[in-house]
Amino acid sequence: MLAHRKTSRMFIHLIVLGIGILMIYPVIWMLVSSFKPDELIFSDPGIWPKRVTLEHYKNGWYVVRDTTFGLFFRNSFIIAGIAVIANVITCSMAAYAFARLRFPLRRVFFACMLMTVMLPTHVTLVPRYSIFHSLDWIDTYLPLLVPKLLATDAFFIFLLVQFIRGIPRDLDESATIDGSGPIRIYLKIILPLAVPALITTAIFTFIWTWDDFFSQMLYLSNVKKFTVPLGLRLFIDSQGQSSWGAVFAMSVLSLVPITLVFFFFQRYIVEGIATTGIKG
Amino acid sequence: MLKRYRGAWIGYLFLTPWLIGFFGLILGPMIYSLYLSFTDYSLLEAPKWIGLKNFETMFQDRNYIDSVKVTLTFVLWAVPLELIAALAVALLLNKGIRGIGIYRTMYYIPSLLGGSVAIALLWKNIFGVDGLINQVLAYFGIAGKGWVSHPDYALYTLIILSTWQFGSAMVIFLAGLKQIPSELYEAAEVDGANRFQKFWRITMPLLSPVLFFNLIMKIINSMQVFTSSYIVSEGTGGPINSTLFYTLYLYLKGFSHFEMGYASAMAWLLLIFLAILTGILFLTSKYWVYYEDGGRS
Amino acid sequence: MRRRFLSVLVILMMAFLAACGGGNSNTNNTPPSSAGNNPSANTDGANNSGVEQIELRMAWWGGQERHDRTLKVIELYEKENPHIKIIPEYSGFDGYFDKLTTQFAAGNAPDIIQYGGNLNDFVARGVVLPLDDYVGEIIDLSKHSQSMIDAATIDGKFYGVTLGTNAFGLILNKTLFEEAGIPLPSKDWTWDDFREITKQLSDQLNGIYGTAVWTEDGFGIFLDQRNKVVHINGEIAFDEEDVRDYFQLWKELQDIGAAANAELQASAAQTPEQSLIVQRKVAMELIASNQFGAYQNATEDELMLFIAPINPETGRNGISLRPSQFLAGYAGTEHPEEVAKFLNFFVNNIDAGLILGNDRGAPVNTDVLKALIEDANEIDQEVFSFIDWVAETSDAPYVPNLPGYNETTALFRRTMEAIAFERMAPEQGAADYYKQLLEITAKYTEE
Repeated sequence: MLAHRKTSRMFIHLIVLGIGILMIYPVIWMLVSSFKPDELIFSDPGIWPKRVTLEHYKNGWYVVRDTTFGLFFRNSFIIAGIAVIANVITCSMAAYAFARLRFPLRRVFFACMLMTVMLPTHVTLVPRYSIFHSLDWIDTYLPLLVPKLLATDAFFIFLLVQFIRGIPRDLDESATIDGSGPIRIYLKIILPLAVPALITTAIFTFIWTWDDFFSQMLYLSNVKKFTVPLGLRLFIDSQGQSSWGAVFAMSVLSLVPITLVFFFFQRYIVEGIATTGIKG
Repeated sequence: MLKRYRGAWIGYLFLTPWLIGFFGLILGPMIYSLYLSFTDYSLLEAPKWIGLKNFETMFQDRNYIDSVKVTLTFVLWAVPLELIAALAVALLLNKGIRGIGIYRTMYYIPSLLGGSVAIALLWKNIFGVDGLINQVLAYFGIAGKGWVSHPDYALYTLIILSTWQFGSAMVIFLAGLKQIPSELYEAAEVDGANRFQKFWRITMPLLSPVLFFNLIMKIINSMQVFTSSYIVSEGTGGPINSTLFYTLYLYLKGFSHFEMGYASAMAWLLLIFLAILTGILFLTSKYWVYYEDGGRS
Repeated sequence: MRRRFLSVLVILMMAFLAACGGGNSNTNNTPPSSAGNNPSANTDGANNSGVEQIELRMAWWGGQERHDRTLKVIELYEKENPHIKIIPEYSGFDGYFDKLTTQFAAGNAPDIIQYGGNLNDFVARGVVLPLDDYVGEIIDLSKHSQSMIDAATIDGKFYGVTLGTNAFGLILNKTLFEEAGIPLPSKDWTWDDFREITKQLSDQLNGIYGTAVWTEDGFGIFLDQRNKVVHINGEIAFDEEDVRDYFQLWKELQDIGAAANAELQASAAQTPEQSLIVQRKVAMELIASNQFGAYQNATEDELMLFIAPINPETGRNGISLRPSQFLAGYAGTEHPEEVAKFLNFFVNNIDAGLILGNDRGAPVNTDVLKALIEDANEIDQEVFSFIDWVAETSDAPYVPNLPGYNETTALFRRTMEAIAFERMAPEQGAADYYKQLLEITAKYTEE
């Protein structure tokens, strides 16, 4: 019986691990390629390198004169960090209002909120750019950050609405009887119970901001303000010569922070922090 | 009526950031793009009013019709596949096996690669004529194809790729599973419920709000799928329009062919379609989505 | 658990505050966007107070190497002209034109802009600065070849300096020729020779094709060999049967196995490193000569540039000298004269030319070219001598891209793919293509 259990557990591990390796095969390939000399990356695309070099990491780090990739990492961290805090706070506020509070036009605004994600962003790009241009915000981080402070990510609002609606209303009602107002309920009941969803919001915001090439490209021009995705493209000229080895090397490095963020924070989604409330 | 909304100010208080953002940043550009959809606008010159001409041209535009077909095919396959994969893996990785955090990270990693520059090369390396897949197939004596360069297979390869990136939906399912109180399972076990009963009677109903969320967002995002084809086909939507997604064509029209008016018209048709579809899904939701707040919304 | 989460939050909050400080300093410095429009605000930091301090924004795309070289030239210029500050805005190619178009639409474009063959699409919409007023006095074109001046002249006005002279050429993989035991072609080979050699290569080399399909670029060469051109001022100047013959030629080469098959061809990427020739899928490919270095550096095989096969009836090889890229001004710039001065420096100054090298193609100024040839490396030597060869053997005129270039190129590509995958016969493909091409170009000639 015990032995049977042990083998079946081994079996689960093997399956999970096997599929897992398939999932990350591309990353392994990227890692290997980052150590191959330039002339072998494309002519010898196998997984075992014939020759190995560390050149790409050095060459990639000193991407262009006066600038290193370290600066891009710092900039990306600042942008993604602020975006996380801003999104978690403002999106949860909006979600609380939509899910729990009553006020005129609530359904209309909720519908409007959902509609904002249905229009492809390409067609609102130019007017949006014009707004930021007239505010003199071009080539600053403001066009990237202010929208987060203003809860413009409907994805997260809707996500949080769904989670808040999953919290039993009895909890609010008993708190109301105890004399708590909506603000207190939001802080003491809703936020603690929505932690898995808040962590999800935080992780996704970090990763998606980190990876967001297009708006960063559009709004940032000075290389000192560049972020990681912009830095990676500095190596690539689609028609001329590109430093693909450096692209791979820096891509590998750029994956490290987001992988770590995911790894360290995913546990809070599942283990949770304050499960006590639901039992009380 | 008034009594019902007593204290409405507190609702607006919480909604203030969103209201500023909506009226300050989002609504203006949206309305402007609606206006542009009735114009001929090259981006470099002033827009010219042409009434409904963009919409008329659209239905005679073979590329437009191709893009609609390609996108609908994609949505019909990718949405269910991705949701099923995400749910299955979430259930599997919700258990307390050793090293679970590492496994979860491994399964999430493809979603981290989303827009990475290097990914185009990765995909060619895997799905190319000489790619990994074909090497494995050759080992079994099967002659492979150019999975991303053959018009019959390219779209389905992209569907598989998007299924492979199920990580975000998986994470949301995991968060949803977390919200289900474990006492419910314990009580069901006392009543002698088996696994399937527990799944259908407890897990699914309590997960339904999250499932509903994932379904709606996946449909919206899949209708707007862009990056995978942009990368794999180098922005051409080829071979022979087989991966010409709606939004890719819209982007090409707007920025590459300098027809932003036409692109705006395309965008608004998509919005109307999605709004109707989402509206219908919301209407059906009262029959299958179970809210702990008693459905009082 | 709770404590750890809290400490993470605190760290994030601190990052937030620190960044807010950083954010403020960003807004306090006058951003370049406003600076370009408001020269009087930029007098701070001017040490020679008599001269007005001027800022110019300059945008280009490229890889690592080009960025470094261009920055050095900017520094050199700033040293010689202390009252000028050039603000560089460089990036990879990805998104470059999307950003530029958005900037134009919002009235915030850089003063100096690098274009590719799409210059005419921007000129047609009035956002490029005409330079005629500055030619002669400020911009010296006397050392530029007439064809390169013509290339930047649209509707009688001159719009930009050419950054490099280029020519399409066949790139041959010498190593593969040796492996196949096939001698290199002679310099006056014909299309029949081409057909024979590519077929032999495919037969001798296992799984490797003689040549990649020449796409739209090759069609221009093909037409010139028939003494025709693609268009004259936007009016289509060839017939349906020309394009039909071209489609048929390639379909046939694919059918006999001499040219890369449909799937392989469709998988070909634009970047040199991922091209079919570097991946050892084909032994020949048509490329622009300034890309030669990128191809050679991506492979261990030995490559060489070669002239296209000739049409025996006309004796023409159809290869023309063509501009690789242009540097041009923004029509809305506040300082057109300073822009013109910089353009002149960028292409005519010997030191600048030596720094820039062959990165954007062979320099357009013959003196700069001479200086560069003296200390060119082996690869550059080969490119320069190929350009010489083209100049000697061909009088093909440079034909600018069709108006609506992106749209017509997509159409050409799609049609060739449909034929290769046998969704259409070449005849039908040609008829379809020709009809749609006329529709697209009509949009531009109407206006």
